[in-house]
Amino acid sequence: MLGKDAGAVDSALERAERFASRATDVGTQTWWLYGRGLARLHGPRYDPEGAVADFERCNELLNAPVLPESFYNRG
Amino acid sequence: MVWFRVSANVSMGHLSRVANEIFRELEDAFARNDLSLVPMWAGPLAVLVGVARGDVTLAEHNFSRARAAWFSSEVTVQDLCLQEGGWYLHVHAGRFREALQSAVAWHARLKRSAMSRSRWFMSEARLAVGLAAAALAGQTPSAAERRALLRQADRFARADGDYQSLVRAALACQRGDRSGAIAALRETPPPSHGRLHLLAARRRLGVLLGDAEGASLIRECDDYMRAGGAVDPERLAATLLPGMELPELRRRA
Repeated sequence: MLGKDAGAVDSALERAERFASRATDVGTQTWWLYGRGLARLHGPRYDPEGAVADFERCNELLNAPVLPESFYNRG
Repeated sequence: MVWFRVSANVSMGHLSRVANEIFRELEDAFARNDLSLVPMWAGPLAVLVGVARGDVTLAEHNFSRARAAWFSSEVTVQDLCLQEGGWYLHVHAGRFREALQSAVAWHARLKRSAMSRSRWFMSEARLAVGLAAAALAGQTPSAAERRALLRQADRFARADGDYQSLVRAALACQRGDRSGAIAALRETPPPSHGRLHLLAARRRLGVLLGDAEGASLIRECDDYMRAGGAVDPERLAATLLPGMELPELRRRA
């Protein structure tokens, strides 16, 4: 959304995915899926189907029993 | 996350798929007094669903409720949603003057805010001003105002942004320059504008071409938009991308 080219966004997403894969907590996974979903929706590649999959998975994690009331999750 | 998932669906043109969900979530947000979500649900998503259905009465009603409920001195995503939703409602009703005024005010606020660093937000704002100026130029009876509006649209067509080819297309239409408009519409804007907008641009191109290729483009876009729930694809395309009628075609209509 800052106008970076597809290569720069891909590289940032790869780095973020590496970091996210090292963490096992749900919070990291949900933020990662939310961020990648936004990048897929508004970024230079425009992959709305991929974005929908990320947002759906993110929502599943947010609604999982491990985080019943710890997130604001209406947006 | 629900809102973002629905936004992605709307950007793809899957309007009927998410229509009920939008109105359910909006009523839920009102019921919970969750005023940060109210403008987001009542904004462009609900309005475009109304346009697709061919009846914006409910969308206008909800939009007014949301506008009355939201107030903030900061530039926020909620403001953006109200701006976009209001712009579509104005354009859909042919109120190009109001669409232009709101877009100019939004662009000025956005420019002064930290969100101006976002190329995506700024490109959208510049597109809204440029298209509304061109559309109003085609509507005003005043020759002097028309000249001023074309100059304004021209400034925004030359500004930095991702969707300048669309403003150039509208400007060329208002100048009666069919080949210039066709050339501008053949430049594909970045896909981040969304599949629905890209289809609207292709439909606009199809009408301007007026030949077999054009008819094929129109058919392809209409089939896709109808499958997504649009009862009048031409009206939906005109709401998404106004100002792209040639003066001679408008007179005939």
